[in-house]
Amino acid sequence: MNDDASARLPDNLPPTIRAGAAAQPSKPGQEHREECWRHIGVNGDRSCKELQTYIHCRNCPVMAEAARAFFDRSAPSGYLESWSGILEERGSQRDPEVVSVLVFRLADEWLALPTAVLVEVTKDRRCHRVPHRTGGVLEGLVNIRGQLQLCVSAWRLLGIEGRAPGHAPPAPDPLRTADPDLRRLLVVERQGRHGQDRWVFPVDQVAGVVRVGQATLRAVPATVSQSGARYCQALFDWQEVIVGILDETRFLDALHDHVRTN
Amino acid sequence: MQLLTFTAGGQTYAIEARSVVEVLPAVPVRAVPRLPDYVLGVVGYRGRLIPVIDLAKRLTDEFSARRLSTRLLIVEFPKREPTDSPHPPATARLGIVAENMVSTLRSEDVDTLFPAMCLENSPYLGRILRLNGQTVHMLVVENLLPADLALGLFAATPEPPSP
Repeated sequence: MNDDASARLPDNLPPTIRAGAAAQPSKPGQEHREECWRHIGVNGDRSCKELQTYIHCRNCPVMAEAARAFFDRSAPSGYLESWSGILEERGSQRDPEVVSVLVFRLADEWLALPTAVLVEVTKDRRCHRVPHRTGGVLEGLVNIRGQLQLCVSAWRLLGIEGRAPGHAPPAPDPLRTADPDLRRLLVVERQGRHGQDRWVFPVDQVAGVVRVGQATLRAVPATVSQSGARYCQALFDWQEVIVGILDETRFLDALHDHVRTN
Repeated sequence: MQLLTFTAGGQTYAIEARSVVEVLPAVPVRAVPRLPDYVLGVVGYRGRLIPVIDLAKRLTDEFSARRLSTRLLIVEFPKREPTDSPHPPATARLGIVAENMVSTLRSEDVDTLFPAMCLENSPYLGRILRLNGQTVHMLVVENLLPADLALGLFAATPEPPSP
């Protein structure tokens, strides 16, 4: 039971509160009423008829009351003191050198964009072509939450599509899943332009958000001849693949230039 | 509008969640001599020292009981500049220790609303709301400290380093 009591606590608490919580078993007699979620609730046999109203014990006032009672006691010794240290340190712990990026795959290339420019990742959907305007970088218009947005081809912009024949096949890639259902649309927006300057482009696969330390970034080799490398600001190794971080300003500027001038 | 609730002297008070910076465990406070008794002292917070008051002591005669549910609330406190100052009013941070700081309320559930009182001795008391059968008294954070005390406490507070 003590294990359960500490399992309910969030993981990031200092160890002292875990020890304190475990050392204080609930009073006999009240156990059944206060910990009904273990007997007749979601962690028990689900026979409680209140579940029909509240769906889950965490919505039930009995559990809310138990949570209030849980905090209605004095702090374990050393707990508050350990927080003093946390409060004083926190400002310096925040590392400005870490960037958070969304990693995705375009054909054989793993690329990333800073999450600051990302609005949403959504399912692939039909793109409406615009006569005489589509075919280049602009693919057409796509409906995102009731608003038509410009849909562009990052493949064409970065020159990933239609590589020269004889291009060496890429090394086996452990992250790659060739499933057309994994295609997603990324919605990006220049920072600080609320609702303006928004672009949508399809990608083959989204791997997730990764936090990268500045120290692990590598410069893009100057000898790289692929045109896509122009838009990369740095490379980093992630789970056996090399990911190129796109320079969001250059990327968005290029989209702008291609679509407005063609 | 979301409200953070807490109690003092058995009564429920609330402030707008918008002005809340953080809710923390009630860490030990370094006492500062010769201040009103409701000013507990200063606490180190992210490389700065911020003044901390005890809400129960401010509103009633008792200090807050020391429990896990008694927490330290960090709020934005509008800094009073001298009236001829050309700068726009900056904000400082104030710590408030209060009891039963465990839940929030949404003010869509407001049943009845009484207008703010205008009491000379307790200018920090705002509107009174009736929410889900409980009576909640809103607090006006910038009036929790008398003007001269606020000026004294925050005069030396350096501006937060810009990110």
